[in-house]
Amino acid sequence: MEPKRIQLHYHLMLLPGMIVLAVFHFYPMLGAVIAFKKFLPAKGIWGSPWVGLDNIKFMFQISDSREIFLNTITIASMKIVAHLVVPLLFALLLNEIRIRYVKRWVQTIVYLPHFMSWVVLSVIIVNMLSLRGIVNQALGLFGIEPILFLGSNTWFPFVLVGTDVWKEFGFKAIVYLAALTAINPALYEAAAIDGASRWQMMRHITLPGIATTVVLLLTLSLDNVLNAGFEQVLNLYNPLVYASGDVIDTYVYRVGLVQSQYGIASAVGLMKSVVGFVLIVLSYQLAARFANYRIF
Amino acid sequence: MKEERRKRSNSDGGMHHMKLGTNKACAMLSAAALLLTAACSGAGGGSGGESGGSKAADTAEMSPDGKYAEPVTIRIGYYNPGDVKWPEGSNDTLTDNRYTRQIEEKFNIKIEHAFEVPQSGYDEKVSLLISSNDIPDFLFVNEGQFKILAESDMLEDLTDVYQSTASPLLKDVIAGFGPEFLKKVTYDGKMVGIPSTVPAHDNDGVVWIRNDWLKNVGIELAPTITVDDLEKAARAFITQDPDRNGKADTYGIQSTSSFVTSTIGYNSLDLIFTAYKAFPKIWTKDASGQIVYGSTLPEMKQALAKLRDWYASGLLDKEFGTIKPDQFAKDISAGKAGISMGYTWAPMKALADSVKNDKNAEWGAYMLTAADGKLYARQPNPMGRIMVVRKGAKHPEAIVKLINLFTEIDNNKVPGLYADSPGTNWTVRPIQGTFRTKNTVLDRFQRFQDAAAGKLKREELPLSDQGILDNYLKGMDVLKDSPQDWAYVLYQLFGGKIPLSPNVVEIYSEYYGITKTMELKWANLTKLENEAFVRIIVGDKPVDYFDTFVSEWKKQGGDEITQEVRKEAERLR
Repeated sequence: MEPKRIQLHYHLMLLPGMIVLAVFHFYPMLGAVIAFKKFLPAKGIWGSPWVGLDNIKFMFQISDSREIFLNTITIASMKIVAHLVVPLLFALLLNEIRIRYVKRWVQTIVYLPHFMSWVVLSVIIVNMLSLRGIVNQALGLFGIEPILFLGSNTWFPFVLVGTDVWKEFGFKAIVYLAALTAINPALYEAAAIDGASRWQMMRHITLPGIATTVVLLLTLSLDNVLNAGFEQVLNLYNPLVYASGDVIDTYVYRVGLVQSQYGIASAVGLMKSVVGFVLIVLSYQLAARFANYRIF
Repeated sequence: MKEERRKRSNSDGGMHHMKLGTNKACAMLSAAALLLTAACSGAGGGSGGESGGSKAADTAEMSPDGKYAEPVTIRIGYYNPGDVKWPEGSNDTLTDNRYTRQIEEKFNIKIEHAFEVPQSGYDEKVSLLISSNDIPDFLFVNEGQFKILAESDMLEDLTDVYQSTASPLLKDVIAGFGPEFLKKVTYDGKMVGIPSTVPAHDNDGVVWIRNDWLKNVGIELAPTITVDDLEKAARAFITQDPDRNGKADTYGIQSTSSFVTSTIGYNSLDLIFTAYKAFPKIWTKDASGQIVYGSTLPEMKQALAKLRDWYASGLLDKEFGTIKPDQFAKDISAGKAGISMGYTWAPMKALADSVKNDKNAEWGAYMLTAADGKLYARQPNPMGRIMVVRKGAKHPEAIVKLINLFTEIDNNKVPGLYADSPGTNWTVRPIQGTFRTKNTVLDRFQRFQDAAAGKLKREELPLSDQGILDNYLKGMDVLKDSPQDWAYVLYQLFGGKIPLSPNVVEIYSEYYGITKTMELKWANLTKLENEAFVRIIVGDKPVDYFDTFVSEWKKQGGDEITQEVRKEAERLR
């Protein structure tokens, strides 16, 4: 009897969160039926006429749907990897700093950009990456010809990944730093007595200690494989880089909001969610197998 | 993105054949007849007629200028015009200014802004509100939005209200654009919107060039220039240090990522296209008289080839493709660029800052013509945004009264309330659309030319224009201390000369609406088009890629849409 009552406590504590989830996440999902309708605002979601699979069919007829999907997956995968590796490295390095106030200062400064919106940042980035901007001036010192970063299909995806990582790595490192504090200091002391170098300590204590967190974050980020960062792309792209930078979200935005084709926009969005769902189930299985990580 | 929005707002409704002047009364009659039949056929619907009938009892409320006994508050969608200059020392705001005070006094109407967004976000905000079925009582919408609202039965029937409350002047202005204008806002036999109007030549293109720089590099240009002249000036501006600061830090031709539009944009390359008689983004007629899409014609290829040469040789700003349209003026303001292709009124936005920063800056207006000496000026859609009333909103006639008032101001029947402060943007008024006759803009340019030449007395100008003439007579150099006043004179008296030229040929799109297939495929085709053009210019793709673009465009729905447009244009004729 006893264990069950304790569990009930936990479930009750979960309840508010579940309600929020239901209201703001599950309920709006019903709106996905728009993908199978011709949405007329006055008739509402339920009153609008059904059109069957027309919207989905049309989505696959779009000549550059392939390009848009590929762009999205490429940019998003690069971001997932970069967002995993860079903050991890940063957290490990920061963890090695022994002077506390330096550590605090660095940490505070690097996570500031997280709080800036892309609308603001894009102006800064456009200026920095312009032909006469600071980046090209610096490259010029090494005799490199100016590069039109925002107009080149080679460079544009890297600009997206680079700037996004720059904006977020400080913030994402917080989770790793928290995980690092959870490692029992006795392990380090024991290793020191055994004569382990700092590199060996990192290799054999720190990394295994936070492996679960890494796998967890990777798993959770896999459903982002179709999220290439709408706000960022919208503020930085232009027709020159449609070929490498037009992603599902910007496409949905142009079709849905600018052209008012809500049905098609929802169909694309729904497709995105379905793929995301499949991926998260898959990655959960992988995490369970390789990192022995289980939620259920 | 901007491009599409522009495309969209430019393809909003409207018509293009205007048979004006000779018989306005006849046009009026036919419009009235149209409405009458509309009202009869709509009677089956019922509700419209009844609601109008019950209110018609109160004649003061329904009359064009009657005052309400009780204060009436109306909620209206509003865009913030950005940096607004109010007259010296006034405490006016967007919700409490001379207009709102006069409206309150005259009609007992109070105005509330249901929302306020930046001008560039207005269309999106409206689309959002429509999709959530949450529009304010009174709202300006574009034709795409209008269509959705009308189809969804979200709009109040204004047929009777318009008949009883619209002033003769307003009816006259709207009828002056031909019967098609009312046809466009009539749905199922009911009039469900009041179209604002865009006079012809409001957006004609002018090449603005720094005259002081031309002098420095020793080039003299006639008021009418060719593409070669422009090329010569641009080359000299890059290579011959026109600002005499000893550094090679000046640029040639500027543009932005929305370099091609259906009329003209700030620092766009639109004038280069028309100089090759290419008419991108509008529906035009080919040699055989068939309607075709201007962007797909061979003239376009020639123009692109020229621009490609310019880009390769550095005459055209290397970065133009990545510059957002709202940053168009940065090099001009900074005194780094001396050529700006844009509107007659571009000085107001693009050039005023350059004078603020450099008193030596002198800008001249030049007309860039095609090889045959003509300026083919693509005209905007004569129909602007449409005022609509939410179904069930109280006092639909109130908005008509306000429109009556502003129609009088727009047509100089009464002076504008900020006539003493030319720098105060007209969009501060609560009704952010104009109801001007087709010739309003040209007439005003002409009056200024006549006044400057002494053919027209100062007193014969409308009150608001007398101050501008006074400014002009002070001399441009003196005016530079007040850049906004300087810019206004430059716009009206110098830029305004160009549309008056007999060599201007009006080009209207053969069709401004949105067809069924366009709804689905236009976003895609626009992307294909914008991408193809910019990549040809920057050299990513060969010039012959244009032919690939055309065949792709046709294959991906262009042909289908062209057929629909031909049919629709035929129907509206």
